[in-house]
Amino acid sequence: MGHGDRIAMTEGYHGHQYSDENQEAALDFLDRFNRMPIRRGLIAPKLLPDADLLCTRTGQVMLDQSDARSLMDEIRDYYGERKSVNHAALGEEYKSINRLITRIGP
Amino acid sequence: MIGSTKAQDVSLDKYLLHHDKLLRMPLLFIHKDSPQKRDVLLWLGDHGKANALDWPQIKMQLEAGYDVVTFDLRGWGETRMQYTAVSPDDPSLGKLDPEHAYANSISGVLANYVYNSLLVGRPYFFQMIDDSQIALQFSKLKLGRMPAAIAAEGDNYTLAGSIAEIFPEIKLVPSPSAKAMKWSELVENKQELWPIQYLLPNGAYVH
Repeated sequence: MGHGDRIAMTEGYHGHQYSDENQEAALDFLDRFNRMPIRRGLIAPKLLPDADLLCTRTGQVMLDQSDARSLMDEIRDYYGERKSVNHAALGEEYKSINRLITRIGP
Repeated sequence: MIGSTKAQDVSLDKYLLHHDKLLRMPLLFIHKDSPQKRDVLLWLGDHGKANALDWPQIKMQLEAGYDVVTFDLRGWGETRMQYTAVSPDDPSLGKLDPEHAYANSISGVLANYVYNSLLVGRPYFFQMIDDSQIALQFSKLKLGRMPAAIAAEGDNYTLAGSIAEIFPEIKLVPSPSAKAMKWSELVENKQELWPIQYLLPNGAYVH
């Protein structure tokens, strides 16, 4: 409290992404916080080809690793371990969090 | 009632129900002009209440002895959210027709609403059941007839089956062309894509 100078907001109209304005503001903040020289503008990044960043031959763990498991495998196993336990029926689930319909009118 | 249309011996009454302070539910009551009090059936379309294309199914129910109440579940039909989803994570979304893009399980507009419903503690699946109860109460209180049965097309057959399961006084009318989804089968079969409106915590255990 009492440190309005430590708060800033940057906004702009752009796609669903970290905009240039937001990236620059965030980097300025980090530079200031880390007592580094203040730069202006964004450094042009060196773009690497997607293939240079792959850790598997095919680009898909599920294809490369014979023992790989998908999220759906995990969900099925999780369900299988718990399905024998008594669970509420659909009607009980519905009515347990049913809210009162107070009024309807034409 | 906000309007009525008549064709031969069938009347179609239009209603707009106000509920939960801000919500509106468009509802149609399609009935034969009969001195007898016929049984009422709730009818769920695949993308909202019945429209002209659904007339063969509605006519079949009328001839089977039912008068029909059909309504828009929240987020469908005339209460559809007027947004279009565009996702860099799912470029194929933009190539889908509007109906399928809206309900797309991964990136659609409806999916966002469904996820938010979990955050506020009332899963959309239960909200749809709430909507059926509003239509049911309306029928009981305003039309003087308690619905005796429920029928549905397409994906909504699962919802209709669940409503009939929770409220046994409402009979599910079997549909030869529809199959009720079982959450446990989705998990057992490792099925990744299914109608997002059926996202339900513990769904595999309760069904």
